[in-house]
Amino acid sequence: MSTEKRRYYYRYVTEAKFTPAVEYHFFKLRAVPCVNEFQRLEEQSLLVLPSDCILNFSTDAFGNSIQYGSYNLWHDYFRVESKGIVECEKYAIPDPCPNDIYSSPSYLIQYDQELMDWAKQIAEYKQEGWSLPEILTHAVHHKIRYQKYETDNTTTAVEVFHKEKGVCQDYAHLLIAVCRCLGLHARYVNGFVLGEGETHAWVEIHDGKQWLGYDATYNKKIDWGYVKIAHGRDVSDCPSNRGQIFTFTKEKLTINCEMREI
Amino acid sequence: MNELLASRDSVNKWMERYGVRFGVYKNGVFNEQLFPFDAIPRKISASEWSMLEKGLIQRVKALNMFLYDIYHDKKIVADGVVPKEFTYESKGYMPECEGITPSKGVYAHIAGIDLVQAKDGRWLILEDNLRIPSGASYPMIARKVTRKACPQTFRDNLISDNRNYGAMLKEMMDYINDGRGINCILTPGRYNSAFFEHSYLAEKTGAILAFPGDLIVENNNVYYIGLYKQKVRVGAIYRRVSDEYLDPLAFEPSSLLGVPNLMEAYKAGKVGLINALGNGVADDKGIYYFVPRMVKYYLGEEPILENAPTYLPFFKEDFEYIIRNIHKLVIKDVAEAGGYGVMFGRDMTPERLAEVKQLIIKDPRRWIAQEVVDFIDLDIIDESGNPSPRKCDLRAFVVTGKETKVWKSGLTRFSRNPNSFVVNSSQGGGFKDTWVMEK
Repeated sequence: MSTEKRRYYYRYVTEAKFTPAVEYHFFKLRAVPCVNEFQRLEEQSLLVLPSDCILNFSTDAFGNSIQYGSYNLWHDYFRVESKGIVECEKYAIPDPCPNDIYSSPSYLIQYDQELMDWAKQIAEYKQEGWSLPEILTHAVHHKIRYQKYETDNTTTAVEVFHKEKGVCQDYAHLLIAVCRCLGLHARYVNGFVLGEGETHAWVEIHDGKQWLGYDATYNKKIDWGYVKIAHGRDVSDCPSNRGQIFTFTKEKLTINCEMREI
Repeated sequence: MNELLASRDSVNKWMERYGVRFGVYKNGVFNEQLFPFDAIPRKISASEWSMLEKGLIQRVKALNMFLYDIYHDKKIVADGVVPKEFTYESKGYMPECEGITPSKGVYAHIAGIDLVQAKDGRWLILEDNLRIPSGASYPMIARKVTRKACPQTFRDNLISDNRNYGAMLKEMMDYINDGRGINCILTPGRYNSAFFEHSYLAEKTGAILAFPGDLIVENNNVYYIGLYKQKVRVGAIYRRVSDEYLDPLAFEPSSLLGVPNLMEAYKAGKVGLINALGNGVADDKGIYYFVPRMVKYYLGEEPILENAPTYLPFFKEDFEYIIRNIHKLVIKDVAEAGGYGVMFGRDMTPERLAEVKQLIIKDPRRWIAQEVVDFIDLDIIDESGNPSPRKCDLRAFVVTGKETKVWKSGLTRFSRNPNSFVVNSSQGGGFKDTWVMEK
């Protein structure tokens, strides 16, 4: 067992501006890195504005920590800032018996015949020194062209498969779909990667003993440089930010992440 | 009895004045229609009822135990009694409910169990409805009105009183509430097919009828926002909004019918939801096949009530039987309800039969097949004023709070069309009063 450790600073800011102003605004966030066998929170802070909003903490059924609450007075902005320092080991999460929900179809990850055939076909591909998950990751990476604004939070794995375009979330969904077609347990993960930008999505595939990370967007097996927030069957189980407002308004949303090794 | 029959039109008029309606969506258009009442009651003798009552209580107990097991220890799957394909892959299974124990451990507080009586007298279970079974209000109000229209009938016949349904519900709601606050009935609003029922049951149970937006969650407590924005703590919600619309932050994000963060209040044990979330895993048409096995597994008893003979294409033997006999079977889509997705082999053209076979071969988990049960006809008075036989079923209402009890009545539905076997209200049938006799 390697005991090498690396430390990362992360900062995640999401800001919403409402015109006109709103009242009775409810939210649920997954904005704080999770704590598990390979990842420990050394420092963390979460600031939600307006500062007098109601904020509660809990865990969802998938084991992710959630931060949720509401603000009932009139307001025209909402801001979340989550930052801290994470200490990581090499990416691996021991789990002797993975839950079968991760090998069954889910809301956004179903399969059609063509997708099942393709999964079988790419699984036969052999490359010296490559594991099956690495082969699948490679195939999915080359199947999709990275393109923004082609897909959204309701795009299914089958749609991505036929469209062959999408963003990190779509790469993850398609990789999970081919894994499940082949009987593997695979789940969706969101979190931070080194650099600046938005939150990232990748996949954990179970190897019989533990969950290992694979990133189809960047075509690699994950060892270092990824800080995990939450997992689920697909993105609909673990979005980083969900809100509900009952009045008519226009919302301008900006998201910003940064992460660096320290 | 003649007096009762003569009262039919006045009873229907009274019910029209009370607004006893059933909404139907057809081709995207919402229409409210009256739910036609037929004055000839279905009679069930005391001894027959006592058997039904025992069988229904047994079945609902086992279903509640199954729901607890599925969302906790999953012993029944580990022991190989129910295959995992019928649990985790079921549309009704909600992983979000894993590990949550609802208030007092009850899942199916109100179960609507549909039965038919075969021509040989046996009662068979057609389906279990454990999510939001509707229909109790119709026989409630029909009894109320007929008692008024012809009191003599109820003096001359020894009919069990059924005016206690509101009290049964209230007792159960208070038990689940556990003194945390008021009881509410949450309705999606007046465009729901059963809005009449929601308001009527609120009146009969003394609960507040809450609309979307009337309830909010703060620090895991649920509050009812009154007319003057005063907040009143809510302890139990008899919700008539389906699972996927109940909390837009946990499920369908576009839902405007739900209460944001209600799932968190529920998980924290601060509110009772009636019925619990995730019950769909136990009333799916595929899991139905396994209910008699659940009775044996959890209770160690022989099932008192049988299922209609059912085949699952998922099992090889059943699959072969279905493909050979499809022309005489009824094929049902497991994900559909309300009489939708039901196909009779004998009514299909050879081309259509071949298509359906292909559908079954492609996705065996999605279908079940049943023998067509030749169930009894009951007479109704038809449009020309003459007795005419119709297919009828019975929805029994089983209420579980501290104990499991069966309401001594039920909804007897009949098909509008003399040749149809489909009796669902959403398919345009009518209903009768159900008399459970004292002798």
